[in-house]
Amino acid sequence: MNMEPTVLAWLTAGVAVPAAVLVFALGYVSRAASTAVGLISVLALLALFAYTANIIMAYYSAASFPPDLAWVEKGLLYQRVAAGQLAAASFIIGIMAVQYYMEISKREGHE
Amino acid sequence: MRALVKLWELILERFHLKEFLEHPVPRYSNINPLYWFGDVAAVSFFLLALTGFFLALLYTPSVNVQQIPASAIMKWDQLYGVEGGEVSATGSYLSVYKIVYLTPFGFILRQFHLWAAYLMIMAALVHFFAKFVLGAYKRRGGGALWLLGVLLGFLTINQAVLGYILPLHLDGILALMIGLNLFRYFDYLGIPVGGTIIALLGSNYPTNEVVKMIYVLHILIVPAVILILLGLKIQGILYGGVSPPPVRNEALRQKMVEDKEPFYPHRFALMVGQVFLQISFLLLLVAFFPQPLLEPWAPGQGVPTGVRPPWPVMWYYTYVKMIDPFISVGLPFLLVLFALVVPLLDRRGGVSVSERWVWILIAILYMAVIGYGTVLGFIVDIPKQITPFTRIVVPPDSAVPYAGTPTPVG
Repeated sequence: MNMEPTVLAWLTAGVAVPAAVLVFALGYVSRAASTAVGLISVLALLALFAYTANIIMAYYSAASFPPDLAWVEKGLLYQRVAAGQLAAASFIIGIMAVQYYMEISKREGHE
Repeated sequence: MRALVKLWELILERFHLKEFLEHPVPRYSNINPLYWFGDVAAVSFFLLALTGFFLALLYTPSVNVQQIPASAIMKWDQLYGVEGGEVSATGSYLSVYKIVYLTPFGFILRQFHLWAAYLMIMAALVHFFAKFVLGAYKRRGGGALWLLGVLLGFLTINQAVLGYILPLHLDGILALMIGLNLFRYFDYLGIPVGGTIIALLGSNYPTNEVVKMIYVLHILIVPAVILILLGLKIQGILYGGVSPPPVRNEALRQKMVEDKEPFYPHRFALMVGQVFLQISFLLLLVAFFPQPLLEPWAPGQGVPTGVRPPWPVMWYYTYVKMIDPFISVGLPFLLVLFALVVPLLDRRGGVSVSERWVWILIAILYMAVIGYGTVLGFIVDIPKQITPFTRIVVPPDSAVPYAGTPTPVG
């Protein structure tokens, strides 16, 4: 039994939003802790993406033309959730890279 | 691990990458947002190339008519009224339909490509404005980079329109009809550009050959030219440096110019961050603001009222509609020409805001012309049904030296 797209979306938001806030906030305290939280959350999001991708691949194995529109709409929902999962993972990696720049830029005495 | 480190060092040495990675970058360009948007546009271009590669594998250019049951047209695509039990569409439309609705990850691929294109245009416009404000063309070598930038901007907008045509939906066909009509106005300049282009295309109607040519232009020729110009631009920035900081105080400016960081790891880390944040932003747009595929067009079918071109050329559409086309049709060329001569006109003084406020006002006015037309195009309704042929008045046949008789489809 596959998870519904809305359930997957809420699950993704439940992981991504606290993780992004934590990575951002911890960046001002300890970059090591921020990186650890970032990497774990990215892995969790990629695991969720892998699960969603599996559902998408299985779902579209039944694609036919002309399609049933309810079927198409559900497929689009799964794909939008997958896009959201990748967006969250990319966002966290992006924050970590910018934080790294801020740290090395500071360390070398430019203040 | 040691072997990997050795291999990495060997690669750095043999390909002379160390010189590149360690080249100094001024710190002010890393932290001032006015210096970021060129990178955003360039990264968008590479993201577009990546997604475009997969889309090109799945897309088939064709105007051959095929039938789609009206029940298979998604609700959000039924913008202008789908009628009957079956709807006629082209092979191109059907192939995009299959990419978007029947292929795993095809929806993400196409949406990402669309949003990345919009972001590239927006970033290119902001980058153009930022460099206008900074007077980037005043430094040594800046004029050449400015020239490349203007050409790249022009090509970017053309590339967007070419891509918009490919699905052959009603909005795309409107863009194509206007584009084909535009060529005919060139003949009034005394140069048979329009006739030659139409003769090369073989028709002034969308045929299989025309669509195939647009496809090749979109996936090969225009991106190749963009890539060459972009390479020249990156080379120029690498060796000529970025625009000087917009400050009047000479000592402060010198201090800012000398405060440098190596490209690796400083700017590199920032670029990695930018790339991932950009991908994240685009994927969020895909997830939260997906765009409809739009309604199919079939050969012979007119374009109904309410169909509008995409926003990057909406300003042009508005002015052509508002002002006599024989005056307004050349507006983009006028804007490009003006942009090209700006470095020749604005030569005196420094680059600080207080020294060049007149030129900053001109930059704002320039962007306002584009912004005003774009906004107006979306809020003002078209009062009567206008077909693409009457929207832009077709010049008399005597002005169009056809090489052969065009064969309209449908």
